[in-house]
Amino acid sequence: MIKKLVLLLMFGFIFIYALAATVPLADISLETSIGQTVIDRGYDDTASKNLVAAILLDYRLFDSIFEAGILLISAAGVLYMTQSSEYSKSVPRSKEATAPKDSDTILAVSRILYPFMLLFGFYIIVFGDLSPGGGFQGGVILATARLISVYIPEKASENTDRLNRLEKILFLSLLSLGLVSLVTQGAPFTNFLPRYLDPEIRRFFLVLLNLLIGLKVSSGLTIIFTRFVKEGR
Amino acid sequence: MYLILYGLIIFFIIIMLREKESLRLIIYFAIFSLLMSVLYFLYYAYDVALAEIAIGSALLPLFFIIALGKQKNFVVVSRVEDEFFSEKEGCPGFRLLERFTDSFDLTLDIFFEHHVQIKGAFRERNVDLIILKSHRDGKYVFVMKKSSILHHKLRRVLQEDPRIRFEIVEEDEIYD
Repeated sequence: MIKKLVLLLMFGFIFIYALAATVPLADISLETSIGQTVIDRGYDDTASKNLVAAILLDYRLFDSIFEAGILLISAAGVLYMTQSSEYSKSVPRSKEATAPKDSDTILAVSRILYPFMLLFGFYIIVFGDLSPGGGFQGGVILATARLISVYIPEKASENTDRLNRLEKILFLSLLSLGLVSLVTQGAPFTNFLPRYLDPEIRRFFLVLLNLLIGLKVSSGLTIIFTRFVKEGR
Repeated sequence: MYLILYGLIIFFIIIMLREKESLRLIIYFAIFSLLMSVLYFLYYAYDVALAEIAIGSALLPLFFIIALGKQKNFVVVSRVEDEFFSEKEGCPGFRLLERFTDSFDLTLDIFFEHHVQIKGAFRERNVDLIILKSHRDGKYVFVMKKSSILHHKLRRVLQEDPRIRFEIVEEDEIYD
């Protein structure tokens, strides 16, 4: 009950704040294009060398966070819809052992590929503000790596309930990280580190945000396909 | 350069539309996504290209392949009914198929041709296996579609049986 109330208050606050922060269209001067403005001021404003990441993680952070929320909701929906089929069926695991094994080539290739894909995913996430990529793309790569690990028999399958809890926690921490700047900067959903600091230090916010988004996306997609693989077995 | 790329993308779209076999269709889809991401890359949309390559040519094809592998029912249409294959529990052909379907957690559905009119009862594509009897050598012929990914597995399980011969046919040849 308290949890629900807190969530409701949080969303209500965000909604009202978003309504209050809307600028009438007539007030926006169109003398310089928005793209040119971002190119000119992007690095100074956001400390991100990748201007796409500058828009995603600073200028339009509000949109990005709720985009991440959509994935949370869809993962929760998949979890809810496939709930019954997993618990009602208690098929013994030994049946799998008697089945003929999958191809040895796939097994060997996925064993070799798995650690490299994890590494590449983390690289894409952490360097999201310097080079193309970011939380979403890196998260998808991490999820693909875990999807490949389905073919590795020694690896235990994911516990989806725990993953869903992790995803919820990550989403809430994303939201609260976006709101920290309300205290320090006076405006929500922007970098909470003050402007006069060195860009190399202000970069910390973007890396943190990318990491959270990446882990959230990867756990959401992992939930979806783990349920998908298990369902009906 | 761009023209070749556009041509390739349109070529693969047409191939995808004309392809009936699911596994090959997935691979064409992955190639199409790869080409699209090259197009994004050439138009300087590096982030979009990365997202397209990660989702379109890695995650979605893997999803689809797993979905194909998760076939639940194994539909058999039998045109023979004798001591080798009939509805009775003890007959050897039935037991062989049952062992196969049990090991893959499939449900075995058997239809006999003279009981059911096949074309009216269900769609043509849903049939996994047709059992015939060859007049030439007296063997039982197991006809499977090439598109069904189970045919490798069934073959591996049943290969040693001398009474059975396998035939893999293309999609549209199945009703001849």
